[in-house]
Amino acid sequence: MDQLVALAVTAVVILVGLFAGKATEKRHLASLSQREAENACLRVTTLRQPLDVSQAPHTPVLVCGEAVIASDAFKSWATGLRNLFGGEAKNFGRLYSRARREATLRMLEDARRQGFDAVCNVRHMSTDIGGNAVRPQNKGMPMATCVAFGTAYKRG
Amino acid sequence: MIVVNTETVAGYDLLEVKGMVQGNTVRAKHMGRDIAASFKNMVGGELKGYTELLTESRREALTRMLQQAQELGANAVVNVRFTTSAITAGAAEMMAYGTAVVVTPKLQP
Repeated sequence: MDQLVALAVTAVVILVGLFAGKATEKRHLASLSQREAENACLRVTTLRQPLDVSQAPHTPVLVCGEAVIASDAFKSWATGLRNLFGGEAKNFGRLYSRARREATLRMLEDARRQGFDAVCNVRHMSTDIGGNAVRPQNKGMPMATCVAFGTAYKRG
Repeated sequence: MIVVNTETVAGYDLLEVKGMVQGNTVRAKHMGRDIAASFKNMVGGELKGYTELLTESRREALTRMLQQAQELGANAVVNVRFTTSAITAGAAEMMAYGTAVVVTPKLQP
């Protein structure tokens, strides 16, 4: 009986995760697309030096953006299932791409706020806040973490 | 203080290289953020507490790096990079490092 209740609770949590997670993702993706369109005027490159920097001294600055996006119960469960068979975990791929886009946008918004119109030498990195790597038994909280940074400058 | 992650500062001439500078910090979040995070892990969405944690660590690491640069008498840090390492669940190390230099604005032709 107890096991049955536990199973039912797990099923409910996964179902809540499925619907709430889908809704959250949809909202986030819509907001990302809209803000990406707003920031499309910025020139973003991974080049190590700005190519078209303005002549007047407009000192470049380092700009950063961070984002940590949680997985939902359904995604975590589905990926656990995926671990049995192997193959691409598209759910988590999408999760990471959301974190990357969010972090990049925050970096761009930081640049725009300071009056710059281009960012070069953009780099991405990740960090393990959940501590899944150092405490493998603690696999409860999958999350996508991304830090984006680059040098903002004024185009000539 | 000028901080960039390019190798030179656009529009400035490099006068002197002072050496490598670095700053690091390990920050942990409090339990309230943990509880909120475990709820968010059910329904999905941004873990704002953790994002803040990252932002604070990055600022702190940069500030410490800049302090070092100031002590060396530099007015800019170029080629800044970050690195992180995991220590335990809920805590992360953030380290910023770069090269402290002295630069001066280019003369306008």
